[in-house]
Amino acid sequence: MSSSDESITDDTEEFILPKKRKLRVKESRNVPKRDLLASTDGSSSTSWIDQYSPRNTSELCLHPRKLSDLRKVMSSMVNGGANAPKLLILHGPSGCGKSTSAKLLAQDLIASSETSLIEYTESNSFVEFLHDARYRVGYNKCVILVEEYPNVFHEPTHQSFKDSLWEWLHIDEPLPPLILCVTEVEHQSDDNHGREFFNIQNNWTVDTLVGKRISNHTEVAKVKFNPIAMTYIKKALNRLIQSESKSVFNRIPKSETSEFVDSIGKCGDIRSSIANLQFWSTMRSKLPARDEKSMELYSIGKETHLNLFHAVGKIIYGSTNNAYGEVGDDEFDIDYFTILDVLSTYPSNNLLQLSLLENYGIFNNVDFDIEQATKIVDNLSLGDVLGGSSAEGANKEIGIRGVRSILGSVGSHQTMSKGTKGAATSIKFPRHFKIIREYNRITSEIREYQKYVRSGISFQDLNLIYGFYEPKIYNSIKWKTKNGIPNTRSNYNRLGGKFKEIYPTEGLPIADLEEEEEEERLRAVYDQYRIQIKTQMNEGAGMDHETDDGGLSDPIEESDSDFDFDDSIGDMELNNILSQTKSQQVVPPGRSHVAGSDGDSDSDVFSSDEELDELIRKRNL
Amino acid sequence: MSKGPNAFFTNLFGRNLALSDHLTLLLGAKFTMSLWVDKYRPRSLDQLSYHPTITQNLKALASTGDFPHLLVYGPTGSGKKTRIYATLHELFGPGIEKLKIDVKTFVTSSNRKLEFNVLSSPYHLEITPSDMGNNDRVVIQDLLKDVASTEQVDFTNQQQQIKGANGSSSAAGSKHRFKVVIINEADSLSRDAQAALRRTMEKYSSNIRLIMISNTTSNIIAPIKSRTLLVRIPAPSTQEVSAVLSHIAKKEAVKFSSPNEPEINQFLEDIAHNCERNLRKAMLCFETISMQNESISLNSSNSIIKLDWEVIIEQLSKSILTNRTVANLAKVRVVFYELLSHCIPARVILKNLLFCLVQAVGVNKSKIVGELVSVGSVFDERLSLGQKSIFHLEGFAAKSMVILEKAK
Repeated sequence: MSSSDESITDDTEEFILPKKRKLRVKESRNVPKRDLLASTDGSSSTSWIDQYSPRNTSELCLHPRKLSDLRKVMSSMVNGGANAPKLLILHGPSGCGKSTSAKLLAQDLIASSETSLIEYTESNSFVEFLHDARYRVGYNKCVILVEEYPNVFHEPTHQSFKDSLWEWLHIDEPLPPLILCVTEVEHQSDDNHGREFFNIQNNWTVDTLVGKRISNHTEVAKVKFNPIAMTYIKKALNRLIQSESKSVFNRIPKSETSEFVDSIGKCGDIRSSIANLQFWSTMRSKLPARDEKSMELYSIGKETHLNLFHAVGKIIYGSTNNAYGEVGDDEFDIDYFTILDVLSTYPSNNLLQLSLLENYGIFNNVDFDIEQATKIVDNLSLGDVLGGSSAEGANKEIGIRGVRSILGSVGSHQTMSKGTKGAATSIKFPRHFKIIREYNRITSEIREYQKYVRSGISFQDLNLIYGFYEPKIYNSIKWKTKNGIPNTRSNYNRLGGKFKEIYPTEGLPIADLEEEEEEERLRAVYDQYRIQIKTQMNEGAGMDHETDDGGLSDPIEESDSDFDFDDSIGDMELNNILSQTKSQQVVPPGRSHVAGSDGDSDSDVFSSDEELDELIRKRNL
Repeated sequence: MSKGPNAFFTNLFGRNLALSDHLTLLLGAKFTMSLWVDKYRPRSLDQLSYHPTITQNLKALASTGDFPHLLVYGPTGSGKKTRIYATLHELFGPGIEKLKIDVKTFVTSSNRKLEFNVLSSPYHLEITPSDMGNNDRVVIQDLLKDVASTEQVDFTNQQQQIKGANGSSSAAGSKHRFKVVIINEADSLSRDAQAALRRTMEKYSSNIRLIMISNTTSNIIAPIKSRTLLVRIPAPSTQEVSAVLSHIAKKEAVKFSSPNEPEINQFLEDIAHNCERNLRKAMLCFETISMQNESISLNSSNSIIKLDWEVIIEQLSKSILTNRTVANLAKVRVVFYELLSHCIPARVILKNLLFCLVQAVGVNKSKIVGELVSVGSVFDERLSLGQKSIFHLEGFAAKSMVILEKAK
């Protein structure tokens, strides 16, 4: 703890990194915090965040029902109830009391034991930490809280983090309660170009952190924290003001204090509110009672963040209160400033326009005239044409403003059934990025086919014409018998896969790599196109193709027979090899697996064997 | 088991060979899955079956031993490339068919690696600019410069090789001190790439001959048109297509339900018609039909195998015709995205959709058809100006719904 630095830098650090400071304090749980912090210097440099952090659950700034829910889950975990989850995830924005409530409840529930809670710190290996934590049962029982994470931006670390959690969920013995605190953050980036999906790199949410597989697991309970309601924040702040009234607040006019509390209470972040209040009051108390400057201090506060769905909602439904306060209440003005507000948060409007296209239909529950819809789409289309990356001013805004002005003129008749609309039509995230991913996948597949098998035919001819006819020809029994190809071989699907409908999702799309890889693997095995490309690729790259393909193509058809390597190469491959080499006037290489071949091929046999085993298992499932 | 030592040797052989041409593939491989399209592709000018005057001109061109830069254009499946290769065959001999693919990498100014394929023989190379995206100008300039500067060395090497191996063919080689560069899909070249090409064409005209292939000349700038010999290959007529098909049918002993010659011809012409006189499509379609049936029954309904994406667009047009609501617009969007994700070009979707709509409305209703086509052309323009095609496709669908609604 910095001891001599009681200057302003120390103060500011406290405000910027209140969390850091708190974490450092935490290590020594049983020492009362107040003493530690008091040692710094005087009351003014002591962080109120720590000083007034709640000491028992009744002081928590939390909706009582949320608290009782949380208590129920946690006590069932501590006492090993029948349906107790093995992992509890608390998630929500910052400063809404996730870890504080977890800690206080842990104290409440495990009163007997000396340490009621242990925390993970980044210095340890997470895998080891979880492994050791497993034995915190019985007399040693305590709550395991994970609030810091290993460096999940490093992909292997992230993977091992997820794996160890997955393992935890499958342990069949009594486990101590494990709690994850996830402060969800959506990073805003200006360029949504090329962003194909959301992952841990650009978004920190439960799904990106632990993966969908874990987050939807039955043994996992999730409790979502919302930003704290203004009334709770105000109550807490007023309590604080009360107790600090002697030192600071007696020098500040009451009206100004309450005005300030009103303005910072909106953000829903208790930590930042208290920090702001402390900073403001220290500065304010040094100024004379009536001072112009006091107003300027208002600007220090947490910026309210307009998320994408909120922004889309604002454009589609309009807004009733305007963002800038000072202009007239003319409906036109409100619209104008609402959109100005939205545009300032979303400087590049590509994503916004795509979301509008995806969502304009929710207005009035798709109950409006097709002509209006046409105008909307027309505006968006114009917006796309005019609104390139270098577009300025009106060119850039035409799409977005167009949508608002048309929907504004249609007029909503939904106010009456406001209660029902939310559930039926929620705002969707544009599927554009999913489409791009699919597009890229298909493109690379066709390109590979073009490169390795059918060179000299244009990409579009392959996709549009060959991609459809070829499988039909190759799969026909007549063609197979004519060309001496065994009927057992797996079939060709359409080049690039079948046409499939893609729908937008609610909420942010999360890349689920595990699922995708699985899908990919299955497709690769049953699609002859893939096998053919692979064969050619291996031959081209000078790999030991004879051994490599054997495991992939033919033996799948005969999963119950013993896997005999020599028989595994189909006539198809042989034909391929034969004719391939014929054109080069070389004796065709045999397909036998002789002792003379090197170690490489041996390991290949192993790998293909494993793959086969897995396939067989899957088919039996 | 019995083939022990023998196999060992062949194995060695095969391995050697594979190592020697890393990443290059001999196109002989493709004949393993030989389709009729490949099997019956004419290899020399004499084998070409239709457009006799063009063939004659090409023969005359080849006989001089030299030729100017060419711009060969015409609809897909009319045999542009076949004719070019046949001409090159005439010029250089069978060596032109020893094709291999090289993967070239190019580092762009923004330090991004770009990979593209070059198909080449000792006498020519073939590139597709759409592989290169926005960098086509730099890539093509670089590549051509490369070819032009290394040509001399390459050529003399080859000469010696040929002389050493086979004295007779060297005479043919020495005549052509140039290398041919075929540029596929030349109409997709960006404007500045085309502008850059025009200088390159003059600068290296002594040792490079360009053959550009495109579907139309409308996207090609005038200076290039004026520096090239334009060769138009029109689509074959239905009779010509059916002649090719019946030739194949005889060779492959395809069985028809009736031996009646005119009936068969009528059937083959139906195929040609349904495939829009695209010979490649017609041959694939015919092979598909004959593979699916032991003997082909000759009613005309049997002569169509529609492409899957065409079927999807046709259903889309029906849905637009019958259900003109905002809710349906959302369903239409699903289909558009489905097609786009499968790499179907947006302009192809727009065109096919427009034609389906026009056909369903009836060509004689000139007012509606006129409006539809005018809206279609507006959005076609926007497709090429804009960035995200979904806006414009949906815009077209919405506008055509309005037109149809009003016409009711």
